[in-house]
Amino acid sequence: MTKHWQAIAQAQGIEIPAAEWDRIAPPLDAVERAFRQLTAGLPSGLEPALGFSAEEGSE
Amino acid sequence: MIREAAWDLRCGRTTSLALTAAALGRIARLDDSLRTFITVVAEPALERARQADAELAGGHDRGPLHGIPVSVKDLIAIRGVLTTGGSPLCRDRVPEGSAGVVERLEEAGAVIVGKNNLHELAYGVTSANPHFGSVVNPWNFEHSPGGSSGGSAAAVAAGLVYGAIGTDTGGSIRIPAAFCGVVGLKPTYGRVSRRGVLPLAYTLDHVGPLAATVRDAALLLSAMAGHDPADPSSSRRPVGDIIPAENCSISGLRIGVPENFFFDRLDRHVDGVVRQALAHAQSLGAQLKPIRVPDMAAINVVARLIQLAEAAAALAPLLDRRSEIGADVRALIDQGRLVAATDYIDAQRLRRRYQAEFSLLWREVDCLATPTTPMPAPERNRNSVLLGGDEEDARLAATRLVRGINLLGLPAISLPCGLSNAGLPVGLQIVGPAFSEATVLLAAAALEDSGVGIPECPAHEK
Repeated sequence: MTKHWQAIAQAQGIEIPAAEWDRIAPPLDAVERAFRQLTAGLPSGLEPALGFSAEEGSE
Repeated sequence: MIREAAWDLRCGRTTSLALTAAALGRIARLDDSLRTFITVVAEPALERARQADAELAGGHDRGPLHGIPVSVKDLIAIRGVLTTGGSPLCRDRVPEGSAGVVERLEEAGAVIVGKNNLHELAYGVTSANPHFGSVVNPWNFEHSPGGSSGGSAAAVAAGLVYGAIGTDTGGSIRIPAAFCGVVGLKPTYGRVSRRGVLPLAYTLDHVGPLAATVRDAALLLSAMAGHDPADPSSSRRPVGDIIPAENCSISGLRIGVPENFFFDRLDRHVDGVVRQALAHAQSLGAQLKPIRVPDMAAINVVARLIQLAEAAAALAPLLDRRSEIGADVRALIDQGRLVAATDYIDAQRLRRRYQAEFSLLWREVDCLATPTTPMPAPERNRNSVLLGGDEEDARLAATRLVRGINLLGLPAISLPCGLSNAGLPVGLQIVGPAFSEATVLLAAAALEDSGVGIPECPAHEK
């Protein structure tokens, strides 16, 4: 299933000139197709690899 | 080379002023065609060179970079010097403070002669900058220098400077290093401060050196690396001695040669030259171990998605003046704005999984050796390349073997290992475990010492 990128942009209030969509939608479709297969069955306990420490700045 | 120049300085055979004047002279003579610089800071550089000479004469020796002319990519801040990021949107941006790497290089006595041209906002691999001119490949002006640190790589290749600093978010140091026939090193994430560097993708951006030789790259990294409390991603791990010894050996080093992915769909000359370098490593006593690597195609997809989202966050404010951004970069920023937050989080979760899978490799091998890019530098303005019988998008092909390493945050070096039949450089990539810069540099230096490399770029003779 491909996403309707123009509708998503419109819903988010993102304005992109019509002539520019040819450079935007096809690459996004390709990433979307490949990425969607990877996320199937991800365990909820798998934490993102993002760094945040509550101790930050307390040194 | 830095080490020879440093020796000549200490023997009194030359001065920093002479080296710097020569560098500025070559830039003035050649850079109209090469387009490797956006800003040249001639007077401040000459003044700094005079200071360097006076310090050496007075017995104050700051180390091997003392008095050596270098340059930095024009998204790295130097106090009081225009820092454009290769974009007209930053044409008036003059930072009040210098980047962490610039402070360290200046402490080490390096003489910064200017700011290198780059792909606009570091978001691309051609360095065909519509605003500041297209960088050309000094080996063949009709071919791409790679990017985004194309100006840095081409300036080193043409002998304009002894070393240059670049950044690497999806291969932006290693690709131009491979295409221009120089050494480029992406250190471990957190090894070099990102403070004062225009961000592209916060969790993928790395700062690193480009130089003519492996040991020159090591000298630059040694000066640049270390903890910076003002960079939240900066590591506290000690840097240690990363400069390869003169008689370093790779005897017994376990070099993993991937059986999957990295040798698929290669230009046949790249395949041949890289395999020749690997055979050479074996003749030096290294153990070549065939090994299967995790799903690098999937890792590349995850890296791309994270880059799209993070770059959109970093650069979307510039879209207020969207007509002033090049069409390719504008499209990438717009793509990133449409990535769902949940997908970004899932990508970061997958990243943790792949990191764990990849770390298992290091039980079996000390490093991996792969081609840096599947093909030598393509002709400029060429959108696709023919690889393995298939047409492939040139940008995706250039990043195919390097992008995933940014997701994993691992150190990786590209060193020239031969020429294609068309006389263009081919890069060998060596990847190691996190914070194993010493191993990666040692492997590269041993190969270089034993003759793996390429002749001097013809532009040197001009």
